[in-house]
Order: sequence, then C-alpha cells, then structure tokens
Amino acid sequence: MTRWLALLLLLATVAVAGAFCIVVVDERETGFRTLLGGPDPLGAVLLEPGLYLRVPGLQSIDIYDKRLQRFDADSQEVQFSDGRLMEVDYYVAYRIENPQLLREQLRSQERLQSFLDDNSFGPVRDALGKYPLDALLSEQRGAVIAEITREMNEKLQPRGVLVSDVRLRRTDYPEGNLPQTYQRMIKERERFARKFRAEGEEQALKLRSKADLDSQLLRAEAGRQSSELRGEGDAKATSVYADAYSRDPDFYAFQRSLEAYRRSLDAETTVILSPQMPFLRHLFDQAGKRRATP
Amino acid sequence: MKLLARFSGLALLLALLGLYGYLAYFQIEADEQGVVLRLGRYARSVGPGPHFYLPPFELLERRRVIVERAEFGFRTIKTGPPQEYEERPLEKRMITGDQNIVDTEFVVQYRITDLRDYLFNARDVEQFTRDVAQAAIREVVSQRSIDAVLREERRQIALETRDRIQELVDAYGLGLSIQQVALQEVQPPLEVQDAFRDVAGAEQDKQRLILEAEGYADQIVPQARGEAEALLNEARAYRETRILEAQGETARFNDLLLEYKKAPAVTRERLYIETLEAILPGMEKIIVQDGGTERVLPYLPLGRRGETP
Repeated sequence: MTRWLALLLLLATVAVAGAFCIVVVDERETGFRTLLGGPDPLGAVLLEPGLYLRVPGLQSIDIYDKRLQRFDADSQEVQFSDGRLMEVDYYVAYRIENPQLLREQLRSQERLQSFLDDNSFGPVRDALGKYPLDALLSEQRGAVIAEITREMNEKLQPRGVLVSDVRLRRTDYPEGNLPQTYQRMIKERERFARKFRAEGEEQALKLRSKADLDSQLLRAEAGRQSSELRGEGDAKATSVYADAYSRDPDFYAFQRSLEAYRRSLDAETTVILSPQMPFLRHLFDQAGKRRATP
Repeated sequence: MKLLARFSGLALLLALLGLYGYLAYFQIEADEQGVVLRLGRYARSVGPGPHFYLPPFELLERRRVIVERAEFGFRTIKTGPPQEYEERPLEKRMITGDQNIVDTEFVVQYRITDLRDYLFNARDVEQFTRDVAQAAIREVVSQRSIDAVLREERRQIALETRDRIQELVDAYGLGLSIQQVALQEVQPPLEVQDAFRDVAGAEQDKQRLILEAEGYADQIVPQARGEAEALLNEARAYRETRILEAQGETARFNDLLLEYKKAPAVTRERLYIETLEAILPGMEKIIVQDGGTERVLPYLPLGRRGETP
C-alpha cells in the first residue's frame, strides 16, 4: 500500500516538475531563453517550434508570436510635394525576426506597438512628402511603398523586427477640404453637361442645315432640269411652227392676224369703220355688182 | 484468485486502451480542415473524414473552411427580409485617378484553402484581409477616371481588385483564396450626385436633339424630293403640251393652207369676212367717211362706253 502511495507521489512530483521544466514552443511562436538573466549559452534564440526544457529559477523562456502581424496606424495628415494635404491611413505588416533583439531592446510585444507607431509615421510622412499626390495614384505607388518599408526597416531590424510591407489603406482629402473638392467636382460635371448639350446642338444644327441644303439642292436641280425641259418644249414647238409656217409666210401672217383679232377684240371695243374698207364696200355700192377683191 | 487478478489487470488495460482510443479519435466534417501539431511542431494536415491523433503529445486545430464574406463601406445589420444596412462613409470613400471622389461599396468572398498557412503564417488573418482588400481596391480605382469607374469598367474593377487582393494575400501567405469581389453600389458622393445626374440628363438631351434633327431631315428631304419630282413632271407636261399644241396648230394650218392653195383669193376673202362677222357683233361701230375721222374723233365719247345709254 505504501508502495502505491509512493509511486503516486512520485508521478505527481514528476508532473509538477514537468510543468515547470517543459516549455512547448508552438508552430506560431518563437522564444528567447535566458540563463540567470543573460542569453543562454546553450541556445538563446528558439526559432524552431518544439519541446524545450528549462531549469526553474535558473532559466526562463519568453515566448513571442512570430507570425506576420499588423500594426494599424491612426490616420494622419500628410503634405505631398505638390502642397496637397491628404489624410492617409496605413497599416504595417511585420514579423518578429529575432526574439533576442526584441527582448533586449523593447522587452515586450506591447511596447513594440508604440515603437512601431513612433517609427512608422516619420518614414511615411517623409517618403510621401517627396512625391506629388499623382505619384501615389499611379504606378509609382509601389516605389513609394518600397521606400517607406526600407526606411522603417532601418530602424526596426536592429530591434529584431522585420517590416515586410507598409500599405496605404486610404488616402483621403481632409474633412475640411471636402466642400472645395465637391465644388470642383460639380464644376467639372457642369462643364461636361454644357459640353454634351452644345454637342447635341452642334450635331443637330449640322444635320438640319444639311437637310436644308439637300432639299434646296434637290429643288434647284429640279428647277434647272425643268427649265431645260420647258426650253426643249419651246424650242421644239418653235421649230414645228417655223417648219409649217415658212411654207407660206404671207398666208400665215394673214391667218394668224385673223385669229389674233378674234382673241383680242371683244364687246368692249369701239371700231371706226370706213365705207371704203373691203368689208363694207357692198354696203354702199348701190350697183351691187361684184368687184374684184382688194 | 491469482487468475482473477490477472484478468482484472487485463480488463483494466483494455478499458484504458479503449478510453484512449476514444480520446484519440476525431472526425473532420465536410466543411472543415484540420491541422495536427506534435509537441508544438506542425505534423500533418487532415481533410474531411475519420482520423486519430495522440493526445497529449499531439494537438488538433480545426477550422470551418466555408466561404466567408467581408463587407466594405456598409454592414448588414439585419439579414432580413427586409434587410437593414449601416453605412461606413470613410470606408467607401475613394479617390479616382482624376482626383474625384467616388463612394464604392463592395463585398469580398473568400475561403480558407490552406489551413496551415492560415494558422501559422499570420495573426489576425480576417483583419489582414480587410486591410488588403481596402488597399487593393483603392489602387485599382486610383488608376482610373471617375467616369471609367462609374460606367464601363465596373466589371473590370471587380476582377482586377480580386486579382490584386489575391496577390497580396499570397504574398503574406494567408492561406486564403479570394473567390469573388462584388461591387455593390458605386456612385459619386451625395453632395455631387445632382451634378452627375445632370450630366446624364445632358447626354440624353444631346441624343434627343440629334434624333429631332434626324427626324427633321427625314421629313424635309423626302418632301423636297417630292417637290422636285413634281416640278420636273410639270415641266415635262409643259414640254409635251407645247410640242403637241404646236403639232396640232401646224396640222390645222397645213390643212388650211392646202385648201387655201386651191383657191387663194376666195378663201382669203372668206376667212376675212368670217372673222369680222364673228367679232363685230356686240361692238360699238362708227362708220365715218374717209377723211372725216379727224373731225369726228374729238366728239366721240371714247373710253366711256359704259355710261352712255
């Protein structure tokens, strides 16, 4: 019985001792082992995940997250090289590369946050200040970001932290500038609206005047052709008349005159006749004998 | 007694083994993925199905890998119906390449494709994805004019943003696959919407003016064509009439001439008399001896015929 008890006691002791002596570094983590406060000569930097032993009281192991982490910066006003003031909101993607350096210089991950805050805004402001806003809105963005990342790493790598990316999440006009921006947008739209309407009028005028031109040309051409046709008719008629009448011009003149009298003299006409005229010669010739025609 | 003790020891062993087997068994559901860590170190990934592991030396991490969605520029408060949304003005405000502001609401759909990457490469993957998506869409939007964003290139923007997010997600090794980026509402800010609407109206006006002018052209050109043809027909009629008249008159003249030639003097006399006969009735006639005209003429009521009784 006492043997059983002793075994149980031993097991409990081993378990408790194990809990104190064994540290598991997870796949997500990295550790830093110290011996009496200084880096452990057996291996201080525990990059590989696995089971690690320590002697309680002599050694201690600090655990850090070694995954890619994000630092979320507050949005800040930045002046670009073209004088434009913008509100930028960025995040920093970093990972703890060397837990020893971090432990020695910054101690904890919480203090790293404020250190990141201090050391990211400067490079962001400086780098953006060298470029006009247009550069950020273009393909050059990549180069700007690389420059910020490089500058941050100059400060952070000696502290065991590697910045892998800095990225602008938002670039906005400061709230105070929004009214002007809206005004500018409205003016631009008004310009477009006017342009579209003017273009409409332009095209409409072109189309209408072209239609007017076309129809007038159609009429003019028809006028020309009809004059020709009329002329042709007149010419042909004249030649027909001339052909016929030239066969006896004298009779034509006579006959045509008679016809003209019929047409031009009517009841409104007063004629003064002479008894000598051939028409009346029989009226006053008592003899009533025939005479030769005049 | 000794036998019993031996059997009970075996039973105890079997019972312990059974218990351990029960503890070591696990099942990954169809919508899950799992990762087994042995003493902290990655050991293996497991897909849907029955599996065993060795606790306490091994540790199991399991996650659902269904399609997740992240909303930008708005949040669904109630999935409804009716749905309720809440706006996020700052999140949807973006600057276009021509330095205009456009409000863009969009949804990103993604799912975990590699649980190992998802768990071990980055902390706070969801938030990373949100950051990346916002940076990506602003990059894409900032390379276009506001007109391009508002109109023709919406599909293109969604596709490019999806690719860009995937690129960054891969670079960070987040273990996600971006299924889709769906642009919801893309519109100019409220403050300038009227101006944008007016541009749309102006375009309509332009089309209307052009259509009206085309209508005018369609009306007056055929009219003119008709009038022209009418004019030509009139002229043709005139020509034919003139020629036919001439032919008719000359035919009559020729006939007359033929008769006249047979007895010129008589015919001439006849024609003359017939004509006078036809025109003199109804006329006022004054017969004056030759040489008397000068004396009589001043007394005649010439031009006042209507007044004489």
